[in-house]
Amino acid sequence: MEKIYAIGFKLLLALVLVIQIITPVASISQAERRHLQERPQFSWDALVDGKYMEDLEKYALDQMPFRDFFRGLKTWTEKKVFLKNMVNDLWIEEEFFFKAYDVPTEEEIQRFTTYIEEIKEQYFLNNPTYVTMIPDKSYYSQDRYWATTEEQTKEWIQEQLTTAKYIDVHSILELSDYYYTDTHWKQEKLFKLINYLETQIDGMEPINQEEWTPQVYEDFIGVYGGQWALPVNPEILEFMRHESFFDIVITNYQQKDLSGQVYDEEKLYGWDGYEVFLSGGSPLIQIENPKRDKELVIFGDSFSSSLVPLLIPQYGKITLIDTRYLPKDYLGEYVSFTGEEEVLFMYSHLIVSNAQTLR
Amino acid sequence: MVFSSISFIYYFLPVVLLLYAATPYRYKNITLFVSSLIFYFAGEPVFFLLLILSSIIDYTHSRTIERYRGTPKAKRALVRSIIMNLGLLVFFKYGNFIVDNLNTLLSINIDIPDIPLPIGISFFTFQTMSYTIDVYRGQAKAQKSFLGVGTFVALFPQLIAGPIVRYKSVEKELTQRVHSLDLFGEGVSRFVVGLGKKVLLANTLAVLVEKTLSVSDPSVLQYWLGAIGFVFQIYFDFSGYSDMAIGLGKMFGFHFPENFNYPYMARSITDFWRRWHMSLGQWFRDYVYIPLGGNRVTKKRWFLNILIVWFLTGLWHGASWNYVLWGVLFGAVLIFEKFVGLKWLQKIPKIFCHAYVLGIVLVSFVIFKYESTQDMIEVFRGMFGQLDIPLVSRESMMDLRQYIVTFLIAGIGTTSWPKRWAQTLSRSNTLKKLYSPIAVISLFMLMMMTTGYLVDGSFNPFLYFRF
Repeated sequence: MEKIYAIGFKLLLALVLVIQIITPVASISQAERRHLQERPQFSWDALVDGKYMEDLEKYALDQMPFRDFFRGLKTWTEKKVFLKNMVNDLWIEEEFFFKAYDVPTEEEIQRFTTYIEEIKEQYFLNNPTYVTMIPDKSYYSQDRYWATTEEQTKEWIQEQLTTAKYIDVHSILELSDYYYTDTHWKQEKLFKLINYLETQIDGMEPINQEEWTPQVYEDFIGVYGGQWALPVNPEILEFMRHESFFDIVITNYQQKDLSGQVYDEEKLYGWDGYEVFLSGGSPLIQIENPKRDKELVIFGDSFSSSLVPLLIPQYGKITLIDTRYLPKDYLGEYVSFTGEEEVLFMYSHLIVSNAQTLR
Repeated sequence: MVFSSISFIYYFLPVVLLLYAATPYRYKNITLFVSSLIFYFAGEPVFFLLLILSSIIDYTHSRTIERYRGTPKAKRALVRSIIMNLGLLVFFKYGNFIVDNLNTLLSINIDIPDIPLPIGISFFTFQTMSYTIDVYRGQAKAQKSFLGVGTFVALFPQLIAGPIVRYKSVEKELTQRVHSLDLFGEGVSRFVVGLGKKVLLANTLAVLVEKTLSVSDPSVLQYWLGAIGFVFQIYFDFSGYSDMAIGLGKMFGFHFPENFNYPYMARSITDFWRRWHMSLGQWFRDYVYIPLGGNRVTKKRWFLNILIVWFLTGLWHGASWNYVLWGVLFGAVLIFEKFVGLKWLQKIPKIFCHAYVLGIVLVSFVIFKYESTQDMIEVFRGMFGQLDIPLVSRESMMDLRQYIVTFLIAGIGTTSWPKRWAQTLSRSNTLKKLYSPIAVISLFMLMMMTTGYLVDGSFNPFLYFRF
């Protein structure tokens, strides 16, 4: 038997080494949505200060043959051998993936509300200002713990906000409004949300789903699907088109030529299909619709990117700002505010709880 | 570089094995020596020179001892070599500790830069000292070639985390060793089992242990989970690393000493220390305890000898007072056992003996784990309900649910039961045909699963950086 161990081990090592040598270096991991470490450049300085070996270790990890298989095997082991109910902080209920997070403290929420008050004081002293927190998907899980803690977060926001109106949307949404494998909500489920926001925000108008045409992508696997590492079923991602889109001008400061699109379909085939909405993360996007005149400024994250297209037909100008990428103190250098805008701060629970990411 | 890494297992090891196999028999030590230096250089690009220096010190001094055997010159060479070895160890490992304590004690302000600790310095210093001392005592012959000493000191399978291989135990194998497929296979199974212990159990439990002091809703249960988790983590980490070292040794034709023998099955602390980090215990016995007079002295002196040995054993583990306290605690318990404890333990049921051992081990490893006295006290107070916290919290219940099977597997893994089950299976008339396929498949699965954990970049701490 020892001979079998010896031969098997030698074969395994040889096989991996040969595959490693003949396989081209991979530059991205689709499932993990990140760039992989490529072969580090050798230098004596890097060698002596340990950086070269550190990068070489990362390279070995990232370029391991059958990497995704091994990641899946780890998940399988956690589930089937160690019988863990959570793997990589993820758990599943009726095909929906959820991710556990560190529950924020009151001080962390204070950081968020103070940040909002500072922006309001700096740029929107007299503008009607609204704040809403997008519920984390776990709010709707069977484990009520997450709903309880998020209710607490909500209470703190309401107590701490003094100059903006808080809009509670938790009761408007439900679990089926979110993707199975992703953290985000579905755009086609947001009509009811907008029709609720319309009752809270003066300038907003109701919208009618029948005026919109869905376009369907059937192979969407969200961020949790990738982190889970075992095969998951792709799901349908819909994005809604409207006739007003033909007349609008989009300026996207993430793009070199500043040109933007409502739906960037190439992104569907990239590592995050959800970036189809307004081409994903951008510090600043302005959408101008010559047929309307009201103005809306939204401070938000990737959730806002899928909501904003639904508001295009009713606003002359929508400014979408992501202050994770554009520090608030530099805003004035890129945008001139008229004082007439309505302002909506719409952040996901994740960002609210980690306001240090807002600059 | 550590054994439990993709770069070691799938890059370094196959290349070294290939080169080693291709090297003619008489030159194999050159391949091993150079590979070992590269191995150490990968983790310590600067301090690998220290490793060479340490080897040179012991090579030259042992040659002098051999040449002037029986004369005062030999003794002077021994003393010089010990001073130089200990000098390096004290400077690099205890320099900052000594200065910090002097500053506090004398209210002075000596300002020295932080001295980095070369990985494995405690292990290789003890090994090189054992070489020179064994030569002085006439228990080993001084190596004529530097390569022999260099290979012994730098030998990568045991370089950074032991077992502490004494020169005389590998003296013959350094010049003449047998390589066989069977021995290699034994090494493979030992290596893979050790890797599994380290990656699947120790690293997994480390995540639970590390969160003990940072949970948002602390509870008594959380502190106990952290403490018990650490008792398992340190065993599987350390014994796993020793298994890997012993396994790698076999792949290259060496037989390193065993380092662990189911210590958590011990029935007394005396028994525990015959089973835990055995190579360190033997080193201190042979090179400190016995030269101090051992137990062939007055009772008072014997106490003192035991306390000195355990003070040093604690200090060996790290330059911090918690390690000293840890060592002295064991010294005190061992003195207690030698006089009354062992007699009592023989009279009570086994289960109470195990409970007594595990209780002391648990307390001792909390001391071992937390260098900060404040943290250590907080953990003890948390465990024994002296903090204003609930018995259980949601987070601790979730952790208990999450780790309960890991704890069960770890608990069984600390006993000799799995080994006994395997032996029963291999001897059973009806089932022995199944034994080989089950063993081969299990080992293969273990290798694949550990690779999966390593590839996913799981938490992979290296506990021995302080040793």
